[in-house]
Amino acid sequence: MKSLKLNRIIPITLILLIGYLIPIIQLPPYIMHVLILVIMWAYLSTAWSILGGAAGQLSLGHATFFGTGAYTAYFLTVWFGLPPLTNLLVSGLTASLLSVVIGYPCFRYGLRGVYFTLATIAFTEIMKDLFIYLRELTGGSLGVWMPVLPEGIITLYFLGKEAYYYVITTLYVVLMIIINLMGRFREYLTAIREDEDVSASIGINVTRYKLLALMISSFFVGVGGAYYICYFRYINPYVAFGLDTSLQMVLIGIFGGMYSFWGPLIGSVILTPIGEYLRITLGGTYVGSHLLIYGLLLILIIRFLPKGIYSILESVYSKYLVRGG
Amino acid sequence: MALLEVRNLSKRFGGLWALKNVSLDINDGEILGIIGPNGAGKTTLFNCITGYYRPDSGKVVFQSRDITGLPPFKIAQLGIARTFQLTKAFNNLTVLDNLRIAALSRGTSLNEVLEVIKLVGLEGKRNSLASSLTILERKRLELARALVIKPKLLLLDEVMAGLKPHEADELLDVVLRINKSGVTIAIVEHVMRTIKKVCNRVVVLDFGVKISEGPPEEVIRDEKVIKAYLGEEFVA
Repeated sequence: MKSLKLNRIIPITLILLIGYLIPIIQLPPYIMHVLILVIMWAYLSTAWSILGGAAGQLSLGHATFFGTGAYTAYFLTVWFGLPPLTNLLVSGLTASLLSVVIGYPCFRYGLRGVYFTLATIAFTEIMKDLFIYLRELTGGSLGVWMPVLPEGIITLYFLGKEAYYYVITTLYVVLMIIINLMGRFREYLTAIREDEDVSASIGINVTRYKLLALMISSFFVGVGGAYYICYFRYINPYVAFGLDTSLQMVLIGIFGGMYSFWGPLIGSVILTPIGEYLRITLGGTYVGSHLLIYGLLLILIIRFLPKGIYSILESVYSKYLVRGG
Repeated sequence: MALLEVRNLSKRFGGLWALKNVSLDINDGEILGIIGPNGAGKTTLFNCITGYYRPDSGKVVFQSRDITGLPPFKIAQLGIARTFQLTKAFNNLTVLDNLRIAALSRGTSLNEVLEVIKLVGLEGKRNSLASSLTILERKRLELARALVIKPKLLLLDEVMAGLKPHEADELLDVVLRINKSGVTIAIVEHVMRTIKKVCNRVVVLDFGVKISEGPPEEVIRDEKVIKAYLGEEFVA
C-alpha cells in the first residue's frame, strides 16, 4: 500500500515541478503562448470531463459556460470596476448558476443521452444569438475589448507571458486537487454513467448528483472563460459561444482519456500544439484544415483506443512501475 | 401485520390498463408470490411500488408511510430493494466495485459486502467485470446488489427466469436464507414450481386485475387462474 501511494506521489510531484519551472528557461514568447494554450485547454477539458466523462453526460455546449464566464468578467471589470482576480470567482459562480437553470429541467424531466446533448448545443446557439442581438449591451458580433489596467495579479494584466502561465497552471492545479478530493461523489458519478436505473435502485439521487456535476463543471469552465478574456483581452460571441469552443474541450477529453485525471492534460499536450501548428502553416491557405487532421486523429483514437491515449500510459505504468515498486 | 399495503393501484399506458384497482398486502416476514401470464402487470406493479412508474391512481403505503410517487432513490433509501427482470449492472466495473458503490449510500461496511458476495455465491467472480458474467451470475449480482442496501422488503422480478432447474434451485436456497435472516420478500415468477416451493401466499394477476389470492395449493386449483393460464377449455 505504501509503495503504491509513493508511486502516485512521485509522478505528480514531477509533473508539478516541470509545470512550474518551465518559464525559468526563458522560452520565446510564442512558445510560452502555446504552453499557456496547452494548459488552458487541459484545464477546460478537465472541467468538462467532470460532467462529460465522469458522469457520462455528453455536453456539446460547454461554450455556454465559457462565454458566460468571459462576458461576466468583462462586465464586472468595465461596468463596475471590480478587480479581475476576484471576477474569476464571480464569473465561475455566474456560469454555475446558469447551468442550474439549464440543467435542472433537463435532468428533472429525464432528458437523457442524445436529447441532453442536443439541448446543450441549442442553449449555446441561443446564447450566441442573444449576445449578437443585444448589441448595446454586449458589443454585438464585433466583440468586446478589455481595457488596459495597471499591471499586477489583482488586475490579471501582465506584459510578459510568464505570469499568465503561472495563473492558468495554478487554476489547473486547484481543479485537479478538487477532483481528487471528490471521493464518494466521483463513485456516484461513475454509477450514474454506467446505469441510471440501477443507481436509483441503490439509493443514489441521480438528478441531484448529475446537477452537482454540471454545476462544478460549469463553474470551472466559467472561471476558464474569465481567464481567457484576461489573457487575450478580447472576445466575441462566435468564440465565446462557438461550437468550436465546445468541441475543443470534448475532443481533447476523448483523445486523452475523459475518464481519467490526467487524460485531458495528455490530450491537450498533443492536440493543442498540433492544432496551432496546422493553423499557422495551413490556416492562411486552407481555412479549417486543422479540423480535418483533428477528425482523422479522433477516428483513429475512438477505433483503437476508446479510453484515450491515457490508457496506453496506464498499462505501461502498471506493467513496469507498480510491479517494480 | 402488513409491511407494504397497495390500495386500488391503477396504471394506464394509453388505452391499456396495465394495472386496474389492484390492492394487496405484503406481510412482515413472508415470501409473497406474484404470478400471472405474460403482460399481467407484474413488473408494472413493481415499477409502481419502487417509483419507476408513477401510478395514475391508488396508494402505496410502506410501514404506515405513504410512498406513492416518491422517486426511486428515496424508496430505496426507505428500505425497498428491487432486482431488474432484464438484468442490469455497472458493466464496466468489477463485481466487487458494483457492490461497493451500492453499499455507499446506505453505509454498508466492506465486511458486510463480502458476506453478501459469499451468500449469493459470487466469491470466485469478485474481481471479474460485470459484463463478463453468465446469466446465472448476473442474476446473483442483481440479488447481491439489492441485499447490500440492507432492505426490509426485497422485490425480486423473475430472478429464476432463464435458469436451468438445478440453477433455479440453487438460487431459491439463497432466497430462502435471505428470508430467514429477516427480510420480507415479494417474488414475481412465471414458473409455478418455484412459487410452490418458497411462497406462503400467492397473488395472481391477469390483464392488470387481481383474480385470486391465497396459499399456492389453493390458488392453482382456482378456476379463474386455470382459465387465465390455460384457456377456457381446461376448466374442469
